[in-house]
Amino acid sequence: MEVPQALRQVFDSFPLKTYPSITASTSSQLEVLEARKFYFTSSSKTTSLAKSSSIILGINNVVEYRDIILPSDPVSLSQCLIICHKNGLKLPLATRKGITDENASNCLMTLSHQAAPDSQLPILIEDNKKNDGGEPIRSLIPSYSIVNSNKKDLSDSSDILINDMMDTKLIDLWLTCLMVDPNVNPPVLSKIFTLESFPSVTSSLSGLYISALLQDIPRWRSYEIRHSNLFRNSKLKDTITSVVRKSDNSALQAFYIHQLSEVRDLLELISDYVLESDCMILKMKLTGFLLSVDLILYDTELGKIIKQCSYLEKAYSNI
Amino acid sequence: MELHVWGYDNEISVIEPECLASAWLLQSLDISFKIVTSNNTNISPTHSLPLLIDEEQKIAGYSSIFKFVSKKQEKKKNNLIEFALISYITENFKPLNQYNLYIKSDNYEKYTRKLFKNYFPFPMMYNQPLKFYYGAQELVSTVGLKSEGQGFFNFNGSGANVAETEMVNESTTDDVAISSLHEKQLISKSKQRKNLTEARYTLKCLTLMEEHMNHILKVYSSESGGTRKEEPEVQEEQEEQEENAKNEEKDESKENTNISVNLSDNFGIGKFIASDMLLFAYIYSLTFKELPSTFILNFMRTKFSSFTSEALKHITQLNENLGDTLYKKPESSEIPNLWNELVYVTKQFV
Repeated sequence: MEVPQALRQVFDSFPLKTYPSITASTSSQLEVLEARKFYFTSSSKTTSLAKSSSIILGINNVVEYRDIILPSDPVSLSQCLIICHKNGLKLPLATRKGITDENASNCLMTLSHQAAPDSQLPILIEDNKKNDGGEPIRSLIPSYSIVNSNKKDLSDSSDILINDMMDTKLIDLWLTCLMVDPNVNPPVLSKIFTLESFPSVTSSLSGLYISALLQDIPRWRSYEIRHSNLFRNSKLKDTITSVVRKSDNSALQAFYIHQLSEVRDLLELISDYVLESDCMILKMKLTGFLLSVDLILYDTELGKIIKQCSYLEKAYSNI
Repeated sequence: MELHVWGYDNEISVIEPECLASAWLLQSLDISFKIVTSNNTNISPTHSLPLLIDEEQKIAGYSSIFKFVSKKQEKKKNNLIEFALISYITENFKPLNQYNLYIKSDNYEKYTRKLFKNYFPFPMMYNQPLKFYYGAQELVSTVGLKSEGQGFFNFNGSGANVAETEMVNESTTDDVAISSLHEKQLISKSKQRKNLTEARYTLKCLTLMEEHMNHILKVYSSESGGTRKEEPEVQEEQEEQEENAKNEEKDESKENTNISVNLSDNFGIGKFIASDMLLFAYIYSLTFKELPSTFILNFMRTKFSSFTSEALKHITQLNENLGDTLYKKPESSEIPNLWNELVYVTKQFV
């Protein structure tokens, strides 16, 4: 069908111009992102795989210990130590923050837990570089897949059993501690999670974030589903503020006391087992749990138990 | 001591195998106690049963009860593998048990749902099974036994599935009129689709069962210093299963060499008593003979024949040991009725 002359004239005279594509990130955005990154240092033991791919471990926050940067929560710290051990990388140093070189593309990055698809960190973001120099393929591995992948490296049936127990009992206890321990207050939460990004003037925004965080914590690792008896009145309690929720949860508090008494005996047994075993995964998991509690949650009931653990000294020497 | 459990009269319910395991454990340790089939979670500090009441102390949950009685008796040293096995069995078998009792439609509609009329008075007998059903739906979805989403065109939100029997008589005022033949065809197709989906999840349930059983038997084997040979392949045909069972009976002594773990050695006040009891309790519940669909029992008899027969023998013995004199009826505030529920709720807010 022929285009009418009048229309042809309009479209022919329309000024056609090709604009350049809008960049995904501006220089200021990149600066903010860079400030959240803590690069692993490479060593002679660094694997070629670690050099060719870029690994970003998305974590809640970091804590500094003797110039070393460590993730603030037990799961992220354990996974960070396992990644370092597997790839021959060294933990990030506070003195080398922001420094990038050819071999330093693997890093920790602080994120909001809402950045993860299931609202729980850590997440692993991998950029696999193409051989032909094209754009790297980015993949995102969620928290549960990272934790499950540890099982593949375990061959001994007892090690698998202990690993499973540490993943459930110890991490469940850490979550319960965050929900019910009276010494877990906003300043402590701000050490574990990235809350300092909120300006001090908007403290109400920070309060809202903490409230949302406390609502999300029971959902992590299906805690709320696995212990549904503890959240029997959750619909009613959803309407109550997080502060009231904390003081009202008698079932959770009873469960916390039970978990503490259980872990008091269990930690010594696990420590003895890990000391005798040559399984690196178990060593790193126990180290991650003990350090993250001892460095941040030291005032809590859980922290007091950890202080007495015989493996704590060894855990510090492991890093 | 009083052990509060799920159950009715002189029978502990299969809905919570930890209750059964606790009773067996206390009985095996020669502890003087009474079993109260109270079905009242309000009396428990963690809102869960089993609950052991010793004078003024309340201990809820199987692992806590085990820890409490072993400390009280000072008979054995804590064993890490035993604790780890208890944790593994609870975490991995609980979703399978919930699938078997609540999500497997035959078992839920013809057995589990009916149980609650014995456990609760009117009108609690109606809302409690649904609460358990929704809880089971969420739990089984964590191990991939039920899809969480209901498809792209789901307009009902994330609400739980409603059984088809509840939908058939629903008034359809704004629907286009269809012939009864067409309606029958649609229902038949829908049922077929539902059966296929259920078959898929049932197969997955069996795969998980096999995986966990293999792992547990491997741990038993390594702890007792023995080695376990592979069990025979799963036979699809029922007839072949029966033939196998007959052959097993004939060559019992030969078959028993498949698993070098002698359960009798681990039994009694030995190394793994608590995890043994819990494992047996879950096996009893999963292979419960009164359930309309005994797909797990058939699978276990085929895949883990010698272990299953050995375990079932022990279970029969353990159940016989729980004499009728051990049972006691709940009294006053222990009874789950409307008045006690009101008192409990009022206490929470006052």
